[in-house]
Amino acid sequence: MVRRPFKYRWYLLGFIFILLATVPIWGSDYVLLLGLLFCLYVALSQMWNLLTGYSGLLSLGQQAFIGFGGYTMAVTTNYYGINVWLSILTGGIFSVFLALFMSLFIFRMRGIFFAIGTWIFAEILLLWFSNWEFVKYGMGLFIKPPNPPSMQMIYYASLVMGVGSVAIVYLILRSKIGLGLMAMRDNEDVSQSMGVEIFRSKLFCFLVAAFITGATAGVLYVFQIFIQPYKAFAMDWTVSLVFIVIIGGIGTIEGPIVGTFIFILLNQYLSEYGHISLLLLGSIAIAIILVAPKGIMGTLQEKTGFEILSPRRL
Amino acid sequence: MEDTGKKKKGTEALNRRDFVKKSAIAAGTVLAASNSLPKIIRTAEAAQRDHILIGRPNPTTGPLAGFGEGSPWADEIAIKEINKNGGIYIKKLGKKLPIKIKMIDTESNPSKAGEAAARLIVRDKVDLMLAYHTPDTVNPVTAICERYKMPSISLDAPLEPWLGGGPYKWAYHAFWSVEKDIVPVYTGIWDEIKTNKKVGVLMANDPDGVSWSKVFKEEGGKMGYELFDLGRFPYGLQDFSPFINAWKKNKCEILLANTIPPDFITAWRQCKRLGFVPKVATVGKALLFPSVAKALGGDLANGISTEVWWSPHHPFSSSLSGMTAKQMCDRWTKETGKEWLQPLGFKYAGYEIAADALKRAASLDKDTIRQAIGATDIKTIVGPIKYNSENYARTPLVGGQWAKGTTFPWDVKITYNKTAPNIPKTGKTFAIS
Repeated sequence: MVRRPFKYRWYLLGFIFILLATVPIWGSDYVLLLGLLFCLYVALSQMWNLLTGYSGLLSLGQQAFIGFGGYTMAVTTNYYGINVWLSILTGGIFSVFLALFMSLFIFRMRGIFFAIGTWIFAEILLLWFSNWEFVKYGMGLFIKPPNPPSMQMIYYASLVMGVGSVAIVYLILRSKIGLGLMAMRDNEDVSQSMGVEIFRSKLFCFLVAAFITGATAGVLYVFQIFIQPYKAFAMDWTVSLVFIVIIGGIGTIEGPIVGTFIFILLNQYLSEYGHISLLLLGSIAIAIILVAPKGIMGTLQEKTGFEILSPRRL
Repeated sequence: MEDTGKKKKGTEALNRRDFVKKSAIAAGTVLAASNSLPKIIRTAEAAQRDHILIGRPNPTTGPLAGFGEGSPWADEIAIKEINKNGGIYIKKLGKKLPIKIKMIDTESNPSKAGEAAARLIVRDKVDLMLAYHTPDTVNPVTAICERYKMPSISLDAPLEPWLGGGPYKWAYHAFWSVEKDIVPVYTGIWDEIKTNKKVGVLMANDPDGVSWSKVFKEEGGKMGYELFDLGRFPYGLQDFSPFINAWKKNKCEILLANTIPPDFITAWRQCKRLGFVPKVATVGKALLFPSVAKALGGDLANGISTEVWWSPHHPFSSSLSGMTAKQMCDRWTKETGKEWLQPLGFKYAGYEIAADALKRAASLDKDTIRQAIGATDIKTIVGPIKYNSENYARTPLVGGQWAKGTTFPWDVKITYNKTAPNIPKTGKTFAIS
């Protein structure tokens, strides 16, 4: 079947963007909160998708960047009184340094070994931060910026992260690197012999993902106010991202967006049922994997050719 | 992107330039329309009020579930008493409104607690927040209340970790202080038994563990106690033998702990197995509830000391109905068949403070409610509450010790009351053998 990008896609995307950008005007505080969570999770899951769905880097350690970015933001605002937006950016930059350091070790590993490597790094960071007096051990930090931003400001920051992450993934995939990435994902050895610079492309994606994940975590913790190592570096983060990307459709740009939408809505309604919510989330994930192994958007693309943001240029 | 535009001109209805132009027009229309929309979507509040809503994030499940156990029983009896005569009079509406609560489970998780509080504020539009039970619940909830300018009353979490998030404008808190209350009570208990003054420290890596160990290190040293502290440990640790062996090696005769209940059960069983039996064990947070004393198994709970912040013997009574602490505990036992719990009184007292403040405010305006809470000066079932300039009030603390009970397998006896002599002693401190 010939895949053809959805005819009115630019209208649709423009409409969604305008809808999101005007939430503070038309929406209630509750809609604003949902929009905020939606944008943040889109950014985080889009980055996991870039790593796992496109670059073949199965990362189980996204929480390393979330915690590191969050803590960098908390420390720079609290201890050094740096402007909150600047400190969010610092969180992203520090995450890139962390990613560079991690890459020295884990880029020698492939597949599942890479996954375990990222996970171990996250665990090391958890131990480090929970035993570090500077960040008050496991007590956690209250984030008290010198200029506390309003909810609307935080929302717009999250919107920048959400929309920015989608745009960056789209641009990367449409570039030469993206072409190489997809070749690499399909067959690493062959693509290498065809001249794809594997190491450089992978590292590039890893650093981009680290930056966006770290900065997004900064926005997230400005909203949450309270950061604590056991939750910031928790595996739960990556589990949520995997859920979002798998049900939405791995290796598609729209997948994480659709997945996040479902995830946020489910969370809102299920959270009142306590532990059953986890059971239900699990059942939904299993059902979707069985019925539509490529996720909602992946299956839709395969069956109908429906595609909004195509990484292909033909 | 541009390639697509050119190659697909036939099939595509729109190129980029068109898109920009059209979306600008669309954006303008949406913006214009949205100026009238908010009135439709946003209103629906205030006009038709038929109740006052209190938000209640509660650790119903997870490691702190023992604290949440008395809910909604204690909440319901308090609400019934407040609503007996129609509720709280609101001047602007010229009528009385009954109180309702909305409870959300925090799963004992601080991130979830913060999210639950945010949801209660923006979705359920609560008028007031009531939060209890350990810093893991209270700290994130009060932080979110400050952000949303939501009046908040909290109890049952030590003062020091809570004060770390201050200065507060919207949140008011009442409980005891680690430095001013826990240290005198615990060292007072230690002093009652003759020991070599060597203390083994077992503290979790959480707000309580971090602040307790810091304060005890400073104060305990001054009083001539030698502390053996191997550091904080994470929740769910399965092997405490490095700690226990270090205490044995140094011949510690006192154990000082602050952990969540499941971790203390693991640790104390291993102490027994490895032959470490201190003469005195003062255990914060973990041994507050009879269910945990029972869960230790055998005679393991016998002689363990803990802090007692509320009991049937506390000489206080309800400002709502005059019910005494004893009467409340008896009622709990009669209706549930269970032994009394320390959080019961505090859960109830939160509603006393809320009702008192709302009555004086006679308004649903957030700032009026906040000021009314700040001016609180009442005698509740947990003692007198009057907030100071840092928005907190201290409640009395005494020491207790677990011993074999008469009606229930384990009873906590009040054995140390020099910190609050108006609370009578019901037993005498004995050494663990």
